[in-house]
Amino acid sequence: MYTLLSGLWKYMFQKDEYCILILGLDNAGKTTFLEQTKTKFNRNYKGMNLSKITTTVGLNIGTIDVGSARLMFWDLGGQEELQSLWDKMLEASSLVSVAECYPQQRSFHSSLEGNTCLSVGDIKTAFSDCASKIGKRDCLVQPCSALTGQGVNDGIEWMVKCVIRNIHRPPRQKDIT
Amino acid sequence: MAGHFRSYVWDPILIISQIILMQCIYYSFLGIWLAVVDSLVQNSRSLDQVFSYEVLGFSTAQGRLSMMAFILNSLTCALGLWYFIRRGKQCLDFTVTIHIFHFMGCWIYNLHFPTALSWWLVNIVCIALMAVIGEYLCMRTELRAIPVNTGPKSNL
Repeated sequence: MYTLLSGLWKYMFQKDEYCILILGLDNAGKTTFLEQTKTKFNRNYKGMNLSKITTTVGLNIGTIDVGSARLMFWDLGGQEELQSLWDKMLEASSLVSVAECYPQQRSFHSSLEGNTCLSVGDIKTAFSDCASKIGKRDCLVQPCSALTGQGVNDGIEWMVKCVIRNIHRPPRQKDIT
Repeated sequence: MAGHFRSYVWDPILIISQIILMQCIYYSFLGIWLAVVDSLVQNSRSLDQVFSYEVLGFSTAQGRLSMMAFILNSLTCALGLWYFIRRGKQCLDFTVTIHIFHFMGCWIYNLHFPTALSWWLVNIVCIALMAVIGEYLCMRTELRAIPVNTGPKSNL
């Protein structure tokens, strides 16, 4: 009876699960972004101190519940040696590419005086040569700060809307059918 | 993910039919055991022995006979769990379900909530015996080594 009722409960209340890849060069802020997202969207999550995040060897996975979907983030290490892992991950519904806007900055405490920040226009120019490969897929350039959390909410909400309406990449097969 | 060892698909029809099957096994074997036990002492059989609260007790001889039948029945039902359910995880679940339905049957028969301590005691002991023995048997089967063909793969 318990299996019956708990199966019924899960069947009625389970959410669609989507896999999202986070890619970017080493030290771009992928793991920090993942921790920030988890802190914002999981109520009881006491995240680790963001300044203690070190380089990712392998990958990190984080899951958040947004609206009617459950997003599973795969944060792959960006170190050159680990980039051979990237093409093994072919099953994702969506891709978050994290680009560092202060390429000269190598520590979190350096001052922000110079005008070396890349703007949205610069990033779009950089991606323009792969525009043909992106094709008809939804694409958004979102300025955000993984340390303070600005811009993260808008980005995630836009992504959830796009991932749900994308019929070419359906959610992962559910446990209970 | 394809290729699971055991299907995780929720199958309500299978579960409901297993519940009905186990309930039928419970009552049929209870009837058989009561018939056997009653014939040993030339007692007359009645539905009271199955459902009534007052009969089940240590004081009367008839009560002791009923108790014995219930205990033996839980052993046969454990075998039924092993043969039909085959999953250690679900043994406790099915045992409690069987006893919940028996409890409802007794309530309808007696028209009042059971207050006799001996009735509760016997049922709790039956639940414990059935669940533990059923789970032990299922575990033994589940934990058997899976035979893998370890013959030479290449012909040198």
